Amino acid sequence: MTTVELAGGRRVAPAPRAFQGAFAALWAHPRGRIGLVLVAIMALLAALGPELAPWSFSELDLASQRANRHQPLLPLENVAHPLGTDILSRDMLSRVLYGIRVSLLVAIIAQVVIVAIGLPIGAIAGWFGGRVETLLMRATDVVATFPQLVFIIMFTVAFYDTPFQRMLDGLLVVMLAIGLLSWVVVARLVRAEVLSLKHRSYVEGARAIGLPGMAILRRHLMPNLMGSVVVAVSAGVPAAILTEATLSFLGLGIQPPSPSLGSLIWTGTETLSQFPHLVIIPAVPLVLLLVAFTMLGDGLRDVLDPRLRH
Amino acid sequence: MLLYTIRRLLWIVPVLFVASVVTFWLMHAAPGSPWNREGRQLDPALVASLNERFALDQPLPVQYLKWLGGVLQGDFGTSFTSGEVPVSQNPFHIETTNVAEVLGPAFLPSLTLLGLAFTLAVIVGVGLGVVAAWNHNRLPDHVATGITLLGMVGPPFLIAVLLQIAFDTHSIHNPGILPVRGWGTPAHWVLPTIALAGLPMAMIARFTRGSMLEVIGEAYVRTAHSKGLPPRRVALVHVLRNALIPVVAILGPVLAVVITSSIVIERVFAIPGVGGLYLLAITSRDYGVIMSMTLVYTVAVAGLNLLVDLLYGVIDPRVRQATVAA
Repeated sequence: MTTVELAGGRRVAPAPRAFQGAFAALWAHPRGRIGLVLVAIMALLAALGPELAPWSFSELDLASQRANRHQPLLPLENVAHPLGTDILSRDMLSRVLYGIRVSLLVAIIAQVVIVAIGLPIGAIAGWFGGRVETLLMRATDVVATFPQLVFIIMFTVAFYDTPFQRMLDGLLVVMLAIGLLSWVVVARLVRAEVLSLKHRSYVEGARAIGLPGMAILRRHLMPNLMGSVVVAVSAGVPAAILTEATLSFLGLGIQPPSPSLGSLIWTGTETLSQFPHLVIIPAVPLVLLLVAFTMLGDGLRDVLDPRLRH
Repeated sequence: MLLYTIRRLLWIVPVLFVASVVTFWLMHAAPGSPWNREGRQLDPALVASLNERFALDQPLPVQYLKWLGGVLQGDFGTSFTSGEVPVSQNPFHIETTNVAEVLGPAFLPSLTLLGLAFTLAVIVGVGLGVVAAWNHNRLPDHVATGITLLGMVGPPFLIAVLLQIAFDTHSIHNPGILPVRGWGTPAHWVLPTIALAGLPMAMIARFTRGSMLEVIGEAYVRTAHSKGLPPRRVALVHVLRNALIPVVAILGPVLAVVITSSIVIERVFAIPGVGGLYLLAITSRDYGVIMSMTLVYTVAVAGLNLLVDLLYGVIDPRVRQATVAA
């Protein structure tokens, strides 16, 4: 962003950049660094999952199960299945790797939906004010009062067994449901930020040289909003991971045979007494994902939040 | 203050209206009906007559208004199935029950669980927060923060399942100390309560710690110390009283979390509560139960939020003045 020159040669300072030196600051933040490294590892596992996985997530290995007196293999029992197999003789490592991929994918796309709804609503409400603002913020208040999980469950069930629901193994509905009920935080945050930035001198300057409102919003306000939006999004990721896992645990999320960490845990509970490892193996990456994103979120908040920075 | 209370109370009306319209539309727009569960194939003529009998053949807005009229008169509609009464195999005989009769007995276990978990979460959460803040950056702080982090990242359903593994009665290694399923004696209450209290406990502890640390730095606390008051008295009387005020403000969202996660916890521990009935009703398209439960959940969450906000005004004079001025 270049400086804006006003009539009479006065210059208005350019808007401060939200991300200047953010990465270095995040690396210096103890929890932020752990979070960053863990997230990078999990993202790598998710991206390379199919290459790393020795089997496909739905492939049966009946021969090795027969050799094991029709029992699922325990972890480390057989080199071909490092984390053992499930009741149907499918490779646990491959299923867990696929589950990590599902968790990350759902959480990130849900955040895209959240920002796509929340950002314009908050920005328009804050920028235009008046009746538009009242209407938009009242709508936001209504959605905020809904018991989230109840409505997300209902949304996924409403489309149960329809072609729409079968898209992406049932994950599209989950992503949309989470997004449609969780944009409220982003909308409120963006509105508050726009309200506080609206009367800064660089915005008034841009207005004075005759830039149209939309252009100011896009070119001068958006870059400065991004810091808080990133903080809100990073806090939303663990929440979305948890919601997807809960839905799949209830049998409402992913469609079998595709596995998700939540559905793996639910399947594991059916044989909980004999084979507790079928619950514990998918639980470990789920908790790791939640820890990683919670720590990264804490770090990003400390580094990027304008209220904490000054 | 009175005006503010009335205004906030009236605000629940549009929330409930939107919530019930959305629920009604979602549930009826979805494919499936109460009649074709479990792969039952009924004669189209029979389905038509059943639809006519229960007014399911009328346009959605008409059905909605009928339902709304009933609710306003205290009639919550008909349940086509209930957890207790098995649906008759004879398709000509559809058993129906009043929704209130189905849900009524299920409220007691649910409310017991909610009350126990919330109480536990508040006591342990505030306790951990106070201990952590008072020993800032020393061992008890790290221990308390560690426990809090565990609660924050441990999904309630996972905590529930892990508790079941730990106390499994079928396992030879573990003679049953506590039952892992059902809801008969107070011994049954222990594990579900712990599983449900984890996340809210962590939320409260985290917030209490931050709030305590803020208050500890204030001048009047230093004055209390310099007067020679015993540290314990300063912590519990001077600091805690002010530090707990913002904690009250998050009890609303905390309660919302407790209420929604209780649905999952009830399912894991096979508790005969409303959460289990709600999940059952959703999969069997039992419209009456779904609508009533959505209303109950929405009223509970909105009402508790309102109650907490009002309580906040009562205990914090600064907020009270601000709301009166507004």
